[in-house]
Amino acid sequence: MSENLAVSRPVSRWKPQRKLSQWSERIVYCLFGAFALLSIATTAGIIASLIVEAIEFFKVVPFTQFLFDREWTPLFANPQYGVFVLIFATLMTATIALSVAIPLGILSAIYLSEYAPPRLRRWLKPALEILAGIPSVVHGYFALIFVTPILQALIPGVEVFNALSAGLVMGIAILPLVASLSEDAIFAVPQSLRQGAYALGTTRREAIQNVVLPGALSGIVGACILGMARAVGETMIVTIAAGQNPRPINPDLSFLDPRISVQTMTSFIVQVSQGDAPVNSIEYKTIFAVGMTLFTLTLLLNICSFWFVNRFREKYE
Amino acid sequence: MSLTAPIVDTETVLSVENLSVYYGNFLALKDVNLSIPQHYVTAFIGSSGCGKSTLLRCLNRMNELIFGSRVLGKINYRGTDLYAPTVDPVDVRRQIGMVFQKPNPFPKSIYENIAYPIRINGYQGDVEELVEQSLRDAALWDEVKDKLKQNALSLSGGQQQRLCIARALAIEPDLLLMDEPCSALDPISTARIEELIQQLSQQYTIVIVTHNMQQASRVSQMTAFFNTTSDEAGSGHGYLAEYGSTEQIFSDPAQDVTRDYVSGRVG
Ligand SMILES: Nc1ncnc2c1ncn2[C@@H]1O[C@H](COP(=O)(O)OP(=O)(O)OP(=O)(O)O)[C@@H](O)[C@H]1O
Ligand SMILES: [Mg+2]
Repeated sequence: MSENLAVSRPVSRWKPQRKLSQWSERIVYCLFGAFALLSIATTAGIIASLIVEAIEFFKVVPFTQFLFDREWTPLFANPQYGVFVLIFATLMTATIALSVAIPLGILSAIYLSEYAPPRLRRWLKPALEILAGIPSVVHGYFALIFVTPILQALIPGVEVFNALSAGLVMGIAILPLVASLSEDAIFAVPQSLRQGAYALGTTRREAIQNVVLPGALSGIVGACILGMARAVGETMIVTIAAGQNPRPINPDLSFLDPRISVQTMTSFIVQVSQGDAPVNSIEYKTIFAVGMTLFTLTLLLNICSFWFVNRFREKYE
Repeated sequence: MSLTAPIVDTETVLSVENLSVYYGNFLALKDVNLSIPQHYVTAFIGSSGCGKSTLLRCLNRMNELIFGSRVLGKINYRGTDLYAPTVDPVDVRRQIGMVFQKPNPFPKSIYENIAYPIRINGYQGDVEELVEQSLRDAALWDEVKDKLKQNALSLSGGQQQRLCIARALAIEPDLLLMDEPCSALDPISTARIEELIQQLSQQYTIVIVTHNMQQASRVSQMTAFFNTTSDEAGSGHGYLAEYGSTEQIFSDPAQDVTRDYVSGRVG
């Protein structure tokens, strides 16, 4: 077939290098496929090792105890394994963080894409993305050394290590992510929709509120859920600034006091890994049980985000 | 199409005086003077890039949404200076509606597409009634009356464009600007919209940009022909070459460039 085609062209001024490009095409295909496979295999390996060790853990500690114990004292002589102690602490710091990151992130995204003059936007957007690259250990010490003393001066009863300071700074840390992704979503709303709105006599606020934001909603919610996943998995800031104090779940809800030190899932994992828990000891296996819980939580959030973005994506064309 | 009344007898809705438009340092349109008579359809014709859309956007101050654009000169709208500092562009666009080249319905339901501008502009009467009326005016009601809750993007291109016209009509504009409203449509949808424009011209004043000479001669009573100067640097600016009744522009233009253009002999 291809030979016939070649013969039918009398002038041989065109000689595409099909052979070479076919080969390079095939090599590139295999190479990239291998890399894709590698990353999938790594993820699968991590999950498998988590599951295997978690199963080992649950052979010793019954699942009901893991869920319903009211305290988290795995390193004590008489250990208790109520993982909700850690989950609540995690959710508390994450909630504080998100109550900073989501409103500020969305507002700055709206400013950047709708109000900022294009020249300013060209500078601010990359600056925002650089901000996202600040190592979290820096944020952690910023919380401990700078924010906590301010909080202590303002609010009575704030401990040196506390959930509030860690949460607030974590909010600042994930703000660029939320802002940048939301901005992408808002910027992706076609200009023609904005023009359509303005041509109907809407003010800028009305156009943003009723046309632009609904159009970008799925992307913004996706950004927020991703920010939530980041907040839940954030390690360094909470380890440095929130301390290592698992609060028993008491009916007086004192474990939800943000002024005092708490222990999140991530900071527990750091604590145990820093000590010298012998391999295969129960302390060692706890890490994997907690890690598994953390993984499940973030996975759920990611699935939520994925589902939401697909479900509510407004098609413009 | 013959004029039903001499031009001098009609009221002027809008008059443009010495209008020049810049994008940054680029002069897109220079020294335009023309006036738009009430209840007429005025067509803007001319080759690509001569500033028809630019002028149209100036007429309802949409041009200032474009970063770097600058408008010099004056536009008088029923006795008030459109660009006076006291004039709110939102009020201007409320009076002077616009339909775009590409249909741009909101990604909402068909009903909501029309009800939204009605509500946002504080309509005191029955919203539902006005939605139906607008859809009827845009000759779309019969096609969509059973699926008002459906997403507007499920409509065909021609239906979407008529929805956009209905949306613009819903807020009862004084003047309606249309930028190549049929360029993305098939001949049948185009014919429907042309028919619609003719009907609407009894109530509204319409300015339409078109590349279709037949369309201009079919629907309009006035025609403005725009052209581009070609200076030595190669970056010419647009200007209004000739303006008059459609009949005169198409049968007896004063300038050779106009004759060449309307007869399809563009050099
Ligand atoms: N947003 C913009 N920024 C910079 N220059 C622009 C912009 N819009 C238009 N121009 C320039 O202004 C001139 C006139 O453009 P305009 O869109 O008004 O032409 P037009 O007559 O509508 O053309 P067409 O028939 O192709 O739609 C062109 O040279 C164009 O390059
Ligand atoms: Mg145009």
